[in-house]
Amino acid sequence: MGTKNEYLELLQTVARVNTIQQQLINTRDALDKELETYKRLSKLFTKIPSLKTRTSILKFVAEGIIDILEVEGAVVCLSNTDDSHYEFQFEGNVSEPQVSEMTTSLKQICKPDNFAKAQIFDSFQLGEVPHMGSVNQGIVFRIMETKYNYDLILWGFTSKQNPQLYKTLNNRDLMVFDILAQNTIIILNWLFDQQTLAFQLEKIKKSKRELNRLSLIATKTKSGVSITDKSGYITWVNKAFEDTTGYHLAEIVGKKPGQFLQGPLTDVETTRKIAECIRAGKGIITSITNYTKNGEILYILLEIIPTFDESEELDGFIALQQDITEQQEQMFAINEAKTSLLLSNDELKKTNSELDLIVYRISHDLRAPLVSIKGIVDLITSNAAPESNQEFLEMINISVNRLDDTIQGILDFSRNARLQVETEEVEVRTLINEIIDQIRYIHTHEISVYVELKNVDIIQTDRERFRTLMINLITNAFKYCRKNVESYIKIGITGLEKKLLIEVEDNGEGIAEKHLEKIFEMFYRATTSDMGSGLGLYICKEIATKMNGTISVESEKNVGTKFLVELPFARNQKTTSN
Amino acid sequence: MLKFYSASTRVVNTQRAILECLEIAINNEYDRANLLIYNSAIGHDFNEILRYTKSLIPHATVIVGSGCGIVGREGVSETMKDMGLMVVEGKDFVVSSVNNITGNNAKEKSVELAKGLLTDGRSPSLVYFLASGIDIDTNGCIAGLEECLGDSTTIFGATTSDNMKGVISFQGIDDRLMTHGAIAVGFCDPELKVITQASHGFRAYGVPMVVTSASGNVIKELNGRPAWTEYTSKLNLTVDVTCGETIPVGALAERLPDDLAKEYGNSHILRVVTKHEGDSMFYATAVEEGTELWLTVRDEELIFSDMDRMMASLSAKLTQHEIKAVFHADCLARGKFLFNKVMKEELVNKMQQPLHRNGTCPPWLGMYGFGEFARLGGRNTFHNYSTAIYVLYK
Repeated sequence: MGTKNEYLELLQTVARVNTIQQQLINTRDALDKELETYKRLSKLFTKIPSLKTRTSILKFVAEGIIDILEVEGAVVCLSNTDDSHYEFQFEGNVSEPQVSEMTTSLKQICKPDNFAKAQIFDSFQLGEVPHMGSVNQGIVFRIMETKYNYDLILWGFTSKQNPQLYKTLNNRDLMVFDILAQNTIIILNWLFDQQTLAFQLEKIKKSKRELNRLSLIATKTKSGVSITDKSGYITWVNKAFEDTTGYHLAEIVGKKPGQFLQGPLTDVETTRKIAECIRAGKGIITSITNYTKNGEILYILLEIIPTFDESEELDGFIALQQDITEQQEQMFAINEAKTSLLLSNDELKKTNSELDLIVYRISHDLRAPLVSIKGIVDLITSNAAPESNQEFLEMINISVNRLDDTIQGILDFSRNARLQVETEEVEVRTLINEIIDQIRYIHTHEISVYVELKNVDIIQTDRERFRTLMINLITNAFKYCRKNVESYIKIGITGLEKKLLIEVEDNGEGIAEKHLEKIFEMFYRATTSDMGSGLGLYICKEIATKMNGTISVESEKNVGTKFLVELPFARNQKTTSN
Repeated sequence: MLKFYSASTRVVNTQRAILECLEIAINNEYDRANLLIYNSAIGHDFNEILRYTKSLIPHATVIVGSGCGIVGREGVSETMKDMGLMVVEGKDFVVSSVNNITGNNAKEKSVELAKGLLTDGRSPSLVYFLASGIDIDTNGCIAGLEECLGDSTTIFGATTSDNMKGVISFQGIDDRLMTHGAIAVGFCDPELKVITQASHGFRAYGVPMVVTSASGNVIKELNGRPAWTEYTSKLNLTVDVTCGETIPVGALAERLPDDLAKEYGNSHILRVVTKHEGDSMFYATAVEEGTELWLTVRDEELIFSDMDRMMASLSAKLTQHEIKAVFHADCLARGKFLFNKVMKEELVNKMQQPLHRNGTCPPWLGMYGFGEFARLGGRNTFHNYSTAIYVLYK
């Protein structure tokens, strides 16, 4: 019996030892589990940084709550503090609408100012809360984070469906949940920092790319680019600017462009407008005449663009200078050519008109004497009155002279129109005397000819034109002298500083006032008695014009006439005065 | 010719866990999967496992059983969210299932189950069996299956569990999820063979309790006293403890005949109590009155040495053979409730290492459940508190 009792006691002892051993194992397991829990926590938060988005992080945390606390379901809800943006992720055998309703209810009972620390709710506490009737036990953490202004709520729960499968949450779980929640906040803040940083980095990259592009444009463009501060002082110029203007950055930095680019032809009004725009911080597009370092003219199309910093304060200007010198010069050339063309056109029109007139007059004035001559020849041939032949011959002579005059006039006109002005040394007195002798030979009236030369002896002029001019003027004086007075012709040629004055004055018939305006027109005759071609004075005018001079007339009927010609004068070194 | 692929994961989200397993096992080549067998911890959504897998691979048969943890090629894990998968490529298999199998109808239901395996005329030579571990007569299951398939058909597999709470367990096939179900997969590949072996490493001690009143698998009295009260007092525990708390310390042992003891490496075979209702205890198998039940103690040294012995024996038998897959059933009491993480991993390593080929672990699906089926003495036998290894080979 004693042995049996001892044996039974031994059995009981073995059973007790067994139980104690199991308790030790349980304790060891609890420690293992503790270690395992913290390992899982560590693993969770080691993995999270590899997740790139907020959604994936929240989802991962929700899974982590289940994995670490071994609850049935988990929710992570993140919203802005004003609840305007709301995101939640959940895990477990619950539907989204259920979770949404439960979370909303939970927020009512878990005010953030009472929290930032985990708390356990049991079914008794949750029983009266809407939508929380199916929850057996819940563990909640809520915080209002001020740095990024968000409201974070994490919670895990077991349902009433199979509560025995899940452990009862305890203080140890509170501590673990606290750690999990705090680490979630750190991770979220890190994510927001990363996103902000990423955003800023992207912004910087974008700015850098843009800067690179702009720098490339600025350095490679053929247009000059200059950058100034807000007062207009140069801080940078590109190579094109340097090449175009001849100024290097080092010598112009800190200066205003106007200080060295502008010159005599720079329009003052333009520079004033530019200065005004600079002062007002406005842009302007204008053309301006600048100068290179070598003093060459630069025609520039200038565009000034103001630049602003991030707070929209003016911080400088960018000026784009497009060299349009070549275009401008081409424009000038075009304008000149245009003017020349217009002049040529006018000349052509005039010539054309003159030709028309010439053709008309030639056909008339040449034909008329010829008709006359023919008529007279017919008369002579018919020998109707031989004693009249002398008269007839005289008449023929007159007609021939007329023809000759006309032809000569045409020749003189043609020569003047056709030939270039060519200057040579002309002995004035000799030429005048030759002309007078020639005319006296033709015109036999008694006329006193006075020649006065002042400061001229030998001049540089177009001999043939000068000669034709003088011939026509002197011939006219001879032609239109009055028979019943002591006729005279005064020829005065005076050499002034830059012009030659020629005066041919007579006391002849004079020209009626009504004719004075037209006296220089082609084929214009002031008198019907004149048998001349009507080209003489026209030719004088053309010659004067061709030689860049002028001709004018003063006349009074039955008193006399004075022609005044002014020509550009180049005094010869051999001039002597009379 | 059947091919096997396995994977395991601890991903929390059910769908992502499935996707990860499929990616690891068959590289997302879904066409290769004809049969998918999941062992999953109780925290997953089992309906979702079936639904989502079917949505991805509609042509395959999907089976799932719940447990306390998973053993795969990747190692061992006992969390609420473990998932292991064995994918079978090929069509040399048949599947059958029954619902509402309990301790008092286990044999009949198993007959029905076995008949389901024979409907298309093929006769499986080995059967993978998953059944509810709460309230079942496993000897009845074996008897029912053998009645139709013959006792030469090897039955291997496990009874499903939860996380040792004895509350609920799940068995699922295609679109049907059960809590008291049984599923059988009969492999018909003529080239495929299986060798099974189990070991436990517990020692029976003291004077045995005697079953003085029992009905099927329900023990009503031990030593003439209310069973649960007697049992817990012997364990030095109060009557209000849960079955889960008794499991680690309360393994019951039945004596084995000498020949079987020799093969087993132990004089006793163990049994677990998964449930009690009042003073009645639900035993792992049907038990006759007069059966002697010893209390036991864990002998860690014996556990490890027995493991070595078992694996050496298995290896010796498999040296000339190609290992196609390994199924593994482990008693949940031998997991984290018995060993710390390091020891558990060491134990699993001892199981897997000897079966490596070319440095690689064969496809492996193991579960911590309530009980294990393995042959003993040439007979299909139900075990508790053991590690049972089922090696499919060619």
